[in-house]
Amino acid sequence: MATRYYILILTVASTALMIITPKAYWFLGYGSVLALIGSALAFGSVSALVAARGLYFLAHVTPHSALLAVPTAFLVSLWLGGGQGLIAALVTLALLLAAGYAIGRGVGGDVAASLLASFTASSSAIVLYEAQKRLGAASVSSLILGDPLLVGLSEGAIGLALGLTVFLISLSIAREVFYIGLSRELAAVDGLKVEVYDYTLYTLIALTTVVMLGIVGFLVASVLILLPGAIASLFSRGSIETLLASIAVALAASALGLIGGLALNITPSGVIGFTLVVLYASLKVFRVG
Amino acid sequence: MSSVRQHANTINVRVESVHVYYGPVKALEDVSLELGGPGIVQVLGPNGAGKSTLFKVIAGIIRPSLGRVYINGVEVTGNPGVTGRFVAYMPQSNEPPKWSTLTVWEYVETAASIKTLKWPRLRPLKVRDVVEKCLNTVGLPKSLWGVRLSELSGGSYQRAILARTLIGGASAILLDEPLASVDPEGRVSLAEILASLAREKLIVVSSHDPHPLLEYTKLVILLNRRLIAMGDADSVLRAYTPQALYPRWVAEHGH
Repeated sequence: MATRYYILILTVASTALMIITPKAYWFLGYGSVLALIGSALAFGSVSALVAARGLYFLAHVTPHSALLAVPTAFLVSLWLGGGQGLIAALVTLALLLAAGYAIGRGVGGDVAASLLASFTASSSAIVLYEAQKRLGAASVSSLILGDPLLVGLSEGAIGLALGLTVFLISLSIAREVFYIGLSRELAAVDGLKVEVYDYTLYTLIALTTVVMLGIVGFLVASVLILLPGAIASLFSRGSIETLLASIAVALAASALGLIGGLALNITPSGVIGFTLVVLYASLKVFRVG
Repeated sequence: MSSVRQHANTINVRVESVHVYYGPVKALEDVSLELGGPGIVQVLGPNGAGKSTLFKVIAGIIRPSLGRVYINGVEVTGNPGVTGRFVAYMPQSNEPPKWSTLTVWEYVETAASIKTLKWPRLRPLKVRDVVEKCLNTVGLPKSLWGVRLSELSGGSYQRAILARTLIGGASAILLDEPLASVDPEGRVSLAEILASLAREKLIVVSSHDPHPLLEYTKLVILLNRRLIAMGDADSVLRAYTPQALYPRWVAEHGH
């Protein structure tokens, strides 16, 4: 029980510190803070649903799809025109829905995720090489490492808007998704249209990952989509509490990542991921959950 | 019992020439049977006899390779959404899921919301009384209602999922090995609950051991991929078990 309150205090304190951080660093704008709050809202929400459905492996390979989609969108827009963001979102969504369709047709979740990872990793090697020739190595490395410090105010506002949207949709489907997580078959017998919830969840995972890739980077996106939900599942009761706890954990990690990254002069995305790993390991060591 | 009440609780399940193949493996072969409620029906058979498959076929979760299923004259083959209007199903589940954070209350409440409210199901208070009634019927103490499913004992978990099957007032309940992970005392208590439910509903139970429910059972079905026998408990169990179900064991032990 006490774990909930410790997490709440940690989240409130670290978020408050994050909000006042731009006053201490002249180069840091509020765009970064908004983007990190949006990222925590989106990843925290999706991560709780991923944990409830046990879709860890599929969620883990989604950033691979986004890593393929973003440079692909750049190259496609160079050749054919069109908005890069929209193309990247559509490519990621198409890949994830294809994997979801395969799972729905009886292919095991791990097998579908393995195929997706193999396809996207191989394709990414080719596409990233082409993109690097046209964009330069710095742009490609920012996709992989992420850099929340470079986010402008308008991008941060978009990130926050996406975070709020993903949170509200997740909130509206959380109970059903957690219920499906216990038994997909039973949920179908009860009359729930499980495919609708499956594809909504896949869409949320794809959108969150592709939009947030530039903020937290490919590497940390993989961690943020998995660990907040897994951590919240250790001590929460009920779907809504788990969702909110997952967001609180993601928010605390993002705030500590930003503050720690600035203090230590290292990339905040790395500190975000590391904070989550330490938090999960600590809770397991102290046998919470 | 009034005629209206009788009509509401009467159900007819007809399985017609059902074959189920998992690739080259025959799980069920030409199974035909007809069940009517209320009362308890026990489906007995060894591991791999197709008991769970038969339940999933009736529940509409598995579409048979050949054959049809009708409930009250309506064809429901492979259509869990339609079957769910008549039949509730409890799968074989020996252990509570470790990863889920759902509480007992939220689990049953969500089932009730799904069955009675339209999305976004913002008024769970409307189903509160139904949830309380179902949890009380299965004898789950109030102190466990706020507990995570993952923290329940095997017996309490079976009661929680049994409470879920009572939501919606289905006329038939399919229970796949509901007593498997329950201690002897719990078995007696659960058997009494099932017997009480069987006064108004058709309760179809699969099991390896018919004894806990034997005194309440009106029909026994012996299954070993094919339908071996079907009839009242006394005649079927005397005539067929164990030769029909466990031929290798009988050959080796001489009985």
